[in-house]
Amino acid sequence: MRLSDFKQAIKIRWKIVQSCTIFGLKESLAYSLNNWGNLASMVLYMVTYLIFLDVLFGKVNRIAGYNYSEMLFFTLIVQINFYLLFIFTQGNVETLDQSINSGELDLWLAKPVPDLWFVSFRKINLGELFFSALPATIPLLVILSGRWNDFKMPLGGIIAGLICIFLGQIIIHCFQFIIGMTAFFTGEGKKAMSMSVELSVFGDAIPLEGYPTWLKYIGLTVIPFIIHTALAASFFLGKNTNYNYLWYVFGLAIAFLVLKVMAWKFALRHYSSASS
Amino acid sequence: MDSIYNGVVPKGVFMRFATYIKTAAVGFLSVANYRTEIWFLIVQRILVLAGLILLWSVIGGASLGKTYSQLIAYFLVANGARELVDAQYGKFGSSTIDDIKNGAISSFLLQPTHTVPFLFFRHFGTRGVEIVFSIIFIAVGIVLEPPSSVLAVVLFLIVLVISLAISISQSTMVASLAFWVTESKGIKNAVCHVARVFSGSLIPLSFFPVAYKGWVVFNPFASYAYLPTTVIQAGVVDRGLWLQIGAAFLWAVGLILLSQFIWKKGIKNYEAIGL
Repeated sequence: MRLSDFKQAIKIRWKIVQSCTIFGLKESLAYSLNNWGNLASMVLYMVTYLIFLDVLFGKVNRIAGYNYSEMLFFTLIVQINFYLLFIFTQGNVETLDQSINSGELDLWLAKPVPDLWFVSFRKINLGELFFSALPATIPLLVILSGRWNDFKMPLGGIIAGLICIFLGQIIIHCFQFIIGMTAFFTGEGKKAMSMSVELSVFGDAIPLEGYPTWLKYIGLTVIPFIIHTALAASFFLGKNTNYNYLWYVFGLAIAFLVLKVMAWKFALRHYSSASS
Repeated sequence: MDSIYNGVVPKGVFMRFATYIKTAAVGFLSVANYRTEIWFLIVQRILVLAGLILLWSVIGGASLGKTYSQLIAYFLVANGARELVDAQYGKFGSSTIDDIKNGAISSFLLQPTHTVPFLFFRHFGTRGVEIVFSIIFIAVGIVLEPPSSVLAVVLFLIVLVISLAISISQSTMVASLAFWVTESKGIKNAVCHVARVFSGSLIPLSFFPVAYKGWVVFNPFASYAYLPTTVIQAGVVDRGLWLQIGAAFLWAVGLILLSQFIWKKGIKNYEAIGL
């Protein structure tokens, strides 16, 4: 590929992300009252989860070696990841499945844009991020604000944690898309989508150190639900200092990206359009 | 009496129920068309419960005064009951909100049936797999912790009917908001989140601090999970349990009336397009 072609390819992809983000923002602002509803939903979820933790730590001192403050921090990491997944991935998998079911995908495939990139970032809901996710995290941040001294976060752990979140998001994004692509063969993908979401957030209240070994292996390989949350939090809190994991996670991210592209090509070859 | 039963009313009632049953059957068939989806649904439901069981196995039952088996039995019955009465995700509310949002409600309003029961039966038919699964969960939970008396079983069934009434009322009320705000799924989710904790399906209400426990067990959501589970697993149905059942019944009556009121107000407010 020549440099000018490469630049053009990047430019097109950036333009797609930009346009889809603006569209997503406009769409989310269209139902202003529901935005309040979503905000209420997310805030209440957070508050009820904090009540759950409070009640729980009224009975026990530690969960899998994590004290109350550490569990709050772990919850923060889980929430950040959930919102990222919700904003960048879930909506797009859902839209892809609907477009396969309705035949709208035909129209998308006819567009002169990189198709997989387009369906991956069809809708980026920044409205949810600014008007729901961020305000909903405030109660947790307020409680955490007086507890930062309880943590001993090594610099290496912070960097490793951030890398885990970034690469873990890519991995789980690919994982959800691959499951979502079953709609190409079944014609409907709502329940597949729900299942992939459930798998992505499986054990979202359990720290890495609490998993049985066999489940840890599964969560770090074929169903990668541990990396972006439990592994990242473990690095941040200095409970895991084995930074070799990062090489593994990097390799896994590449493997999942390749798998996603392969699955897309395979699915398109077997796609029988609903509208034609 | 004859003048009533030989007239239009019984025919209308039977026809209406026949319509509801047929609607439920159509709903079931529409889901059964996508068999792979059913498998995904089964896996998803197992995952939800497996996650909860895993969490409680990590927390450990000893410090909570319960054995592991008792905890598993509790969560199986609690989550089975909550799913059985459609209080897990409030999907009846979601489907009704969609109908109002996209205008499909207009055609249902024109039909010679009661709209809310019609919508409920249509939705009920799509829940075949969930219902079977919830019954399996409850059955396994009952095998692990068998009921101590026939009265406990009878009361369990009565509480399920009461909680179904509360669940339908909750969904109807939340869906009715769509007549005013068009998209009210966020509000529906907010209510579901509150219900998740205060139903006792995430954490038994008996684990709440003593200061709150007294009133938390009387909240309407408790009848989704905590109350039926406590009733079926209780050694003795004492005064406190009777009071909780009585409170759940009063909540059901009150919420049914309130949901009908809000629904009717919403219908008056509804502006159909394309009629």
